[in-house]
Amino acid sequence: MSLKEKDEHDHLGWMKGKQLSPIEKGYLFTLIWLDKRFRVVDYLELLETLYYRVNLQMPKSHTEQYNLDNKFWYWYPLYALGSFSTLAYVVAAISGALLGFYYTPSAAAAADTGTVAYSQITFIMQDLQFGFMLRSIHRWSAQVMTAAVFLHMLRVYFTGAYKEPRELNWLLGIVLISLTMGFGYTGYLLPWDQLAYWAGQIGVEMSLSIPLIGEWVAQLVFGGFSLGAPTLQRMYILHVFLLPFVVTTLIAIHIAIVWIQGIAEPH
Amino acid sequence: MADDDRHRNGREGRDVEVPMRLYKTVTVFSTLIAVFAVVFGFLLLDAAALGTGLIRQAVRSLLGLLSLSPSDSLLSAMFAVAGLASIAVGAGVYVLGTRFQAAEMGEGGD
Amino acid sequence: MSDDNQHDARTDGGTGIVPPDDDTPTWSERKSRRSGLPRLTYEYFERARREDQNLREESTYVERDVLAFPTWPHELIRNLALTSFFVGMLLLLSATLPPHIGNPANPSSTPSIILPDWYLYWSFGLLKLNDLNPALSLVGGQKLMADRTFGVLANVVVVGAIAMVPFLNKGSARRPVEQPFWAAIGMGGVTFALTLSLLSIKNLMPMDVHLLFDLTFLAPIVIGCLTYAVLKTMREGYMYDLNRRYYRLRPPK
Repeated sequence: MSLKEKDEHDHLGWMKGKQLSPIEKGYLFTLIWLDKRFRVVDYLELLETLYYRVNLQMPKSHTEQYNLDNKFWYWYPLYALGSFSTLAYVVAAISGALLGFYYTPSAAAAADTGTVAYSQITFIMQDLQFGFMLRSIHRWSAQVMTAAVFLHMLRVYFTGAYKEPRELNWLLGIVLISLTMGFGYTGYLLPWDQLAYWAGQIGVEMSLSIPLIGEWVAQLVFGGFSLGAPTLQRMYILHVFLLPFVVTTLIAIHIAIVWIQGIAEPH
Repeated sequence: MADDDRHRNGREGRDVEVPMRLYKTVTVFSTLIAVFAVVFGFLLLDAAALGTGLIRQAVRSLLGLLSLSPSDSLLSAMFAVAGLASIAVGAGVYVLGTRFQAAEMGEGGD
Repeated sequence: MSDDNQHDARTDGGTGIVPPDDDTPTWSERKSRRSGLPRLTYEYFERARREDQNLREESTYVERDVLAFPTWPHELIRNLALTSFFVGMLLLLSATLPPHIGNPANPSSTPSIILPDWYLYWSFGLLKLNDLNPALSLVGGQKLMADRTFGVLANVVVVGAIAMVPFLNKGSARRPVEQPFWAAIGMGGVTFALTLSLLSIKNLMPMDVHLLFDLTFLAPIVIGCLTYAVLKTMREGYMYDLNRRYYRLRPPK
């Protein structure tokens, strides 16, 4: 990458010596004209050089080291599931932040129908530019993240990737999958429609049936034994404040451990 | 071989052998131009379909400065034609670019 | 074609790229008929691959004892293509299958079907195992705990069992064929999650509820046994063929 000007090929001289149709001549002339002004190709050539440079010191892969027959591990696509869930998490975070600009976690009666929370969702879906797509992206990335996390766990199980140095990460993964479902559950309740309300009802009953601490848990998480404004408020705070912090931190640790220990190989 | 009669001297069309650097220029810039032309063409098609797009309003106000006020359907038709033309130009630029090849690239067969 | 060209086909048209194996039809032979950008792209990658291969053969850079694959750059670079495709799929899904919103919450009208999102079905199914709640004759046929408590406890037991796995299953076996028992447990578990999910939506299932309940527990066992039998059968030949050299280096415990 020197600043010294490279030897320039005499394109126009070359063109004179070549038999070209007028269209081709004009075409090449235009592109050469552009090339002289926008040095895109030079930058791409830099990238080409870099490409070869980074390739120089790749460590041996598993199959190379042991000279195995199958050069391609055919379960490989399943190894991307962790990345998928992280990526879906990022997409959900971005779309969720945008949705958060318009959503209000209020169970007060709205002017037209339902609660303020519900009418805000209908506003996002009907009146807001791109709002319908935004909610769709948020919902689908959440669904896909959950699915990817489940499949990720199965992949780790069936390739024995939880074994010896990686027990801690397996436990961390169980915490993360639970929190992911918590994320999904709290988000499911936010629109405050019929489905949300009655799913919340089940949640209250489940926490009430925990021995000894049931009532305390119901008070803490759902803000009472029946659903109402406090429930929605708590679900909102869990969904947009508490869980994001905790889950992001845990994902970072989870990935850091993977990074340090390397990807467990399936042999 | 089906490709044995491929011409390398240009006149007949399909392959023109060019220096490597020129090949890169052609590939990079024809692809860029094609991409921009096609995307722009779709934007124009969008403007033709959607009554309130930014492009459409800009064009309308521009025409207003010239004290022209074409009807909505005429404007839509013009946007549609312009969009299709832009896409066609993009495709044409790309296809034209594929006939230029660097040394040793054009030989087909074994 | 002339002899010269015959020779060139193997050495990649005079670019000096030698195919790794003389016997198999190489990528280069397949690609040599093509022209234009594919050809150039192919040469880029082939050159990179060859340089890479040579360097690796000479290199002593990493001879690892820990069986792991570097996250950076191997894994992340390979994931890049898959993940960008994945984001595209995500946006496509969002555009084609947008969500709907139901009626606003109404505490006074209980809907006939109450369901959480699909990923909680298994947990929801565990709440419906009332029939298994042990009834003790000692306390006059009363159940030991409330059905609800039993359901929540079932959840705790399941999650706890999953958490225990790495402490129960030790050793160096990785692939399912190497550990048919644990693979069978896994398949049984997956099936159990599925059947539990079906049980949780039993009022939507066109099926006798008692049969469904029995199948919930029978199907996982059947699938588990099947997996075990299949893997046991596959095991010997598979491991011998595929891992001959590997096990010479690292004999199984």
